[in-house]
Amino acid sequence: MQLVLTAHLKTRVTDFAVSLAHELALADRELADADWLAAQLATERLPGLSPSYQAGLETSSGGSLIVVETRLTMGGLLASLGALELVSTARAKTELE
Amino acid sequence: MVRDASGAVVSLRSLVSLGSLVTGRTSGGYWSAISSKFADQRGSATLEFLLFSSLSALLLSFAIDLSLLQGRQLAVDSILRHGLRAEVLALETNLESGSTPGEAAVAVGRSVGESFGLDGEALSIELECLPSCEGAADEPPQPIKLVLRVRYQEVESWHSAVFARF
Repeated sequence: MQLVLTAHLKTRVTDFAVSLAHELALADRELADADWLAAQLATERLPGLSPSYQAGLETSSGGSLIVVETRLTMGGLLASLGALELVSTARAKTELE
Repeated sequence: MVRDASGAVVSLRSLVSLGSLVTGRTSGGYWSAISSKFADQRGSATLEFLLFSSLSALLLSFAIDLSLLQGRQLAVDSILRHGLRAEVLALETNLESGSTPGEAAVAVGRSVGESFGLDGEALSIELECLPSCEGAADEPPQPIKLVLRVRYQEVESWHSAVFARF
């Protein structure tokens, strides 16, 4: 049960991280706008849960990348099934510098 | 004695016990017979262990398969969403520069797939444009329907978008 739940939530958290990274990259948004976008995406992709995230820019030879690291810590009923912390990192190419 | 639909003779006693089973009412004898059957400890412990462990293993493997399948479906949906969006945004530039259509969708799709931990070689991303991906300069602009298909192992999905060129 815990295994299935963890696998499911891990995919959801990754989806959230990927969406946030690509939304920021495609819209060429400043990272300051990320909070608003993250709140919207969290309501849509992880309803009832409060993921935290860190967004940053990574420069490589191929150009700039937006890196989003998302962290979801379980609480309440989910925590009683086993204290879990899920971390996912996503990268997306961007024109931001 | 009563005769049933098939013509067989059914005793009243068996009808009463059947009726009590359906209605949940007990006449005492039926349920005590069941409880005494389960209270009986005779039998092979090895057989019981093998039977229940194989049942548990089957259930566990079904649950793991289901969660893996669901995870892949979510990953494929994410690839479609972001790939198609990137393609629509890049299409105007592609039409002007004459670069290969589908390049943006494949690049973004592979990047998303990588984030989900999908094996890149097993991931197939194809773009189809209707009526055509190439827009000739002398032709009047017309809407293009983009269909993106993503396959990953047993999961296959597609999504479409209409790109209107003015």
